[in-house]
Amino acid sequence: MNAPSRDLPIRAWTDHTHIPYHLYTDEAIYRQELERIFYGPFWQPVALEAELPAVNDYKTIVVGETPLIVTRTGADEFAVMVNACAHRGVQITTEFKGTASDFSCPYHAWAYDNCGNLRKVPGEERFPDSFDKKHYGLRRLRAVLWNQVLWATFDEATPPIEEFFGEVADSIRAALGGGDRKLKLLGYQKIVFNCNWKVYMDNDGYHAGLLHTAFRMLNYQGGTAPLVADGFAGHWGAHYGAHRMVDNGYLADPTLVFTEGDEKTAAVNLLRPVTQVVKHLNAMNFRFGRPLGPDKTEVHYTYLAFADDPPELLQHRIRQSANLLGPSGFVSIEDGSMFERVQKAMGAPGGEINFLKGLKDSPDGHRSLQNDEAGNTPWWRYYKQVMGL
Amino acid sequence: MTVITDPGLLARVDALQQAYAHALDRRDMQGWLACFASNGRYELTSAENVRMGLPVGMMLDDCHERLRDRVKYVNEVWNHAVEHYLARHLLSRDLCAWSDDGSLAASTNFSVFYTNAEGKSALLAVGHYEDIIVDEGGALRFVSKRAVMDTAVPPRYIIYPV
Repeated sequence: MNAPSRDLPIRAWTDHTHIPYHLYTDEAIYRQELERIFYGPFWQPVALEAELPAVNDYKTIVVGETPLIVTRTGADEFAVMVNACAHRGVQITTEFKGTASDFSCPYHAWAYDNCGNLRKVPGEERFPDSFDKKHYGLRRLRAVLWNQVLWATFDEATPPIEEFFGEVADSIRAALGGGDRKLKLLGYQKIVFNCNWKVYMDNDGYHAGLLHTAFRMLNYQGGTAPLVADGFAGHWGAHYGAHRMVDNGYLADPTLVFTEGDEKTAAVNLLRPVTQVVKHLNAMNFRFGRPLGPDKTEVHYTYLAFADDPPELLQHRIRQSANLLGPSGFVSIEDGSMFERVQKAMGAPGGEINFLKGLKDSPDGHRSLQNDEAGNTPWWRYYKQVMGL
Repeated sequence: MTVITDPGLLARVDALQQAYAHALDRRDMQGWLACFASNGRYELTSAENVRMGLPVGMMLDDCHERLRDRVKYVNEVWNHAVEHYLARHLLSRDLCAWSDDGSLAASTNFSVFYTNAEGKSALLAVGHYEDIIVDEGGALRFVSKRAVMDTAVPPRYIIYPV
């Protein structure tokens, strides 16, 4: 008997510029992504140095579906551990942030130092003779501090971080103010986008002047700077001399789009799997992403200033950060809307999304322009390979 | 701090809060703007940011110019591309008091539900307002309205003020 038409076979995936919808909805694909990508050979950010300014500060974060504790154990020393007691797997802490030199599991009072070493176990005299505290520490992840960001990986084979980011490293540095000046935390905007994490990461420069009305109203047409897609899995970054917005009288408070001081650099970075680092005008934001299953993505927009900003510039940065680039931002709110509308259409069988603009001049997507979308194709080529699809 | 018990004054405070919720529940941004004093300010942030003493939250309109700009964001700039929702604000007066500087400080709990175009509803955010209220020309107005969400991670992007 013929199968009913709604069970048409999923179209075979042959082209990394045309992506079948089912890769954004399928639960089995998502489980495989956790294993091969989120727990695979990727450096993923777990903390900004500015989030943990003092020794013994800690925060928690989830990477993939794994809860982590990140601690500052010394002036330049950090530890990243799975937030699960080595005994019964209880979360060691449920706080987002705090300060502690040691952690005690509430269930059976197993006590750890903030490097994850097991220090005290009640009733140890009745444990088997073979029990050794050395083997029951919290599971540590490889971690490296790079550009004032702490990056961690589950995989021993992850390449060194400079190699991991390749040519995109310069653009990441540019978004974080060049790398030398100490950063300071200004606040969080946290949100759930009702879309697959790859929809969130498929965003491009093609749309900016077309979707975001605010840019048009301000006569800002976006840029044509080079965009480089490079590194381990096709991260992309564009850094460029920012156009100054010219006040055309549209806003009653045009300081929202002013650039103060001598900061001339803007930068946008999409780092695989699910990190974005953006500097625009005087607003710097680092976006920690996290999949919540195949159809939701949680993003923590983290805003930054320089620790040595003079008071007026700091105030300007705070005012710009709150309203410009976030999930409810003047020039950015429409992104979330597009993400969610893309996801809603993905139930359609046989459908695919495609990347085209820029491929004419850059068939491999490595070097295109800021207003192209070809920069996403090296990632999809890698994705196809790492997922074995 | 002196707790306000005068029923007449409390009724006027309640009427201002109701006018505010009424405007937002009807996407009436001019009605929202009318609840603010001529030197009014509005802020939307999370309790998490407040606990950590962090100044950047979800929205910061710290002058009347920005309040007027927010009306434009919603009515003009974003209108064509966002997925609109209908909000319902449920408010509950917590405390009204005279501050030491003579201003009226009001704390009000809120829960805001949203309903999308398909008619599906969920909680957008729960939290409280910290307001400073003045009498401007015989009417009460917010000189400062700060919406502090216990909800650190709202389930969708927020278009309208809370």
